[in-house]
Amino acid sequence: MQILPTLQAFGTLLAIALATGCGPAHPSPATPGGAGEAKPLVVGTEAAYPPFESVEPNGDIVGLDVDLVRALGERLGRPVTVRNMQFDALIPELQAGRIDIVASGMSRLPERALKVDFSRPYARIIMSILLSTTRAADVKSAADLDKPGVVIAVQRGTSGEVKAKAAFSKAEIRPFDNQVDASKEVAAGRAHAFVYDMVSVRKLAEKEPDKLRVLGETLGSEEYCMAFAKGSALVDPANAFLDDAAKPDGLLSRLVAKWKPDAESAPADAK
Amino acid sequence: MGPRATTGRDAVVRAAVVAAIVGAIVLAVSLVPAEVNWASAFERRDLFTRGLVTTAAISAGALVVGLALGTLAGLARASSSVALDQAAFTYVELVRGTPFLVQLYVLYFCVARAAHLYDAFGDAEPVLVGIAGLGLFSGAYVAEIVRAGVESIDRGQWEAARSLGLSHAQTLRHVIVPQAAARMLPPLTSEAVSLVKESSLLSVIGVGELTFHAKNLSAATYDSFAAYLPLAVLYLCVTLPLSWLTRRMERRLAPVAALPVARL
Repeated sequence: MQILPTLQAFGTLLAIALATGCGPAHPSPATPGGAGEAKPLVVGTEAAYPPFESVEPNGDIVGLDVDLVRALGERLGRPVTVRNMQFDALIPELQAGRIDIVASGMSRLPERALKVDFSRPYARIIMSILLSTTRAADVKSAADLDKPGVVIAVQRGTSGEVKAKAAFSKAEIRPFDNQVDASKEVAAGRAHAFVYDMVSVRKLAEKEPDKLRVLGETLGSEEYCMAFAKGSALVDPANAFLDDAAKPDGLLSRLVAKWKPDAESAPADAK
Repeated sequence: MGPRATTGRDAVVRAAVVAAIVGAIVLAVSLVPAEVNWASAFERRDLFTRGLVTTAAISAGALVVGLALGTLAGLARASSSVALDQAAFTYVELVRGTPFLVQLYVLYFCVARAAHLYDAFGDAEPVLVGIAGLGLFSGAYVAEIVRAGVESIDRGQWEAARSLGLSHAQTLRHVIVPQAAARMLPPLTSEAVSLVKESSLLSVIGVGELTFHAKNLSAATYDSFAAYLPLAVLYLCVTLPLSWLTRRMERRLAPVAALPVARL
């Protein structure tokens, strides 16, 4: 497999598109075996969520989701182009037809399922609460946060935002563009808490243990799925692919070993 | 305005052209194939209202800060002190050399955090940092307007005032500034327009202004149309009257050759 990084302007974002090809010796990645142009599978992701997706120092987008979707592309005989964008832009971009697949650690939520089709789940995460050691010093349970005057930082458009709105209706929910900005808000004591997945929350707390801690109580588990435009023909092949990948010793277990997301891969019978 | 006199017929033509352009935009939007859920935006009209009020308040606050800073810096540039001139010049170049978004990142995520402003201001911190940042940004452009206004006054006025025994500062205060102030009004009004627009960037630091609420609405409903089209219209509701005011003042000042608008 060879990787050809290209830069292209994408709105105001600098999107990094990676096209992969199957031809071992050909410099042009677009035509596998030279037989007909295979339309690239355009994948949208917010590459600021390691180890699922992140940007390497050289600009490459890598991670568990990226490997997974590359393998799907290989199976479908289509090259894969990965586009980096803000998380809250993913579903509108899917609806606009500019991307074919969202592979970005996206949880299946009922309100999202009204707008897009989801694949079967491939990972499960736990929604957790990161607390400020100063501003939320006396918070002992999630209920302590459901009060006027409490500020909850979230990443705009994430399931953490959806869960926070539902669980803390009396608090002020303050959305930010990315997880770093939101978590810094808590570290600075400007917000009481940040609602995000447990693995990320733990990593953030480890970095600044004097400023951040993780609440023992969680907001329940969620399942990561790929997302597609409503009625997309890709849903069935993707499900078949994920069924195989979720088998014991299948691709998912290898990817979990490689990327160590610390999120158990969903059992093959989930859905 | 050129040499052409405005006639009643011109006004009709202009109104028709505006109507045609607005009509074309409305038609283009209505032809969009996406299902636009206008009801979801209408249900959340309180958010738009709250955002608009915050945007107006922040812009007004930043304008006050910007006018104060800009007047000081502009006069410093016109003063006889080399040190003051250089200090003001450095401020203007630092601000004008970086995008406002970057200044905001530095101010909020680096400076304000390192200075523990939260301890002093609590939940008002993002708004206050926003107003200060926007004011600091605007001040650099106001300084240029003030400097250009002062420089636009004929050299002969300086010479006349000095020969009457007025000092440099007295000349500025009693002769130059009163005349320059009138010429500065149109570009300063246009600076207010640009403040309203730049304030949209405060959405990245969690300030609940207009764009912040529209972004949240779009993320919650996945409906970009119902969030961003009303957003654009609401900004125009604020900026168009201000622009109209600018043009009106420019026309009144036409005989003394108003300063060109510094920045749109």
